[in-house]
Amino acid sequence: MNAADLEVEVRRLVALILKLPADATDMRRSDVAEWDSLKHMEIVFALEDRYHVQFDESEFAAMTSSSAIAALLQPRLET
Amino acid sequence: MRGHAFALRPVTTADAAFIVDLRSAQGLFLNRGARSEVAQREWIERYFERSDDYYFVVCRNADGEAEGLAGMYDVDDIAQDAEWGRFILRSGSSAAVETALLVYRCAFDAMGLQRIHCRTLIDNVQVVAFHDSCGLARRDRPVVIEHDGQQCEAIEHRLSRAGWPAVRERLDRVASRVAAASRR
Repeated sequence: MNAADLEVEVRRLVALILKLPADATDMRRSDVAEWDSLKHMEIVFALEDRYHVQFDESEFAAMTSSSAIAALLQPRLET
Repeated sequence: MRGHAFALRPVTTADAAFIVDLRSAQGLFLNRGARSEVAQREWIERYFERSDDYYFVVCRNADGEAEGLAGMYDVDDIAQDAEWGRFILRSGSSAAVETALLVYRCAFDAMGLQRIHCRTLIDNVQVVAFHDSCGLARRDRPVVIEHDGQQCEAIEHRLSRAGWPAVRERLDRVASRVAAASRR
């Protein structure tokens, strides 16, 4: 999967968990009230389950937007 | 009170500097409180005199490192109710879910309360959303609270003993996975 397609998929998954319409542009945690600390963890674990990957706790805070998440995810899918 | 990855331990006067530093750096939506370590120590000494107030440091089980703070206060033994708050974590902490879980375990399982509530400034939208996501019920109208000497609107969330099992299950599921990630 190329980076652009992955970013769209991540955006859809984030929107689904936040119960929001999927934006056409990057979703930033700081701009989305619904993206709270519990939903953030649900997003992380949904990504782990969907893509069969694992994130370290130290990476959670870096997941500040749908594009940042896709950037963290992409290298794991290439290995 | 020990959880999967984090624990609550009682605040001591030795935590004064940590409290001042954390609240100064992150506490936009909290009352400003003590501004120096000395003033915070004095506040803690007065806090020790109050029997209806519990102030905790959130710390990591692995190494005891302090992650944040939470409190339960105005504990009413007759009404079996309390408020919780003073909730603040270091930037980037993943302890939020387990902190809430531990506070509720403390309230319902250890202290046998019937209900607990929290009041969040209306502009603190992600913490308001957090309590919604945890499954707490919102009071239908905002309440007015004093914040740094000013009257401000806040959202009150409530959790009853009857609602606690469903909230516990939701929070425990997430907290256990956070703990697994912290061990990687």
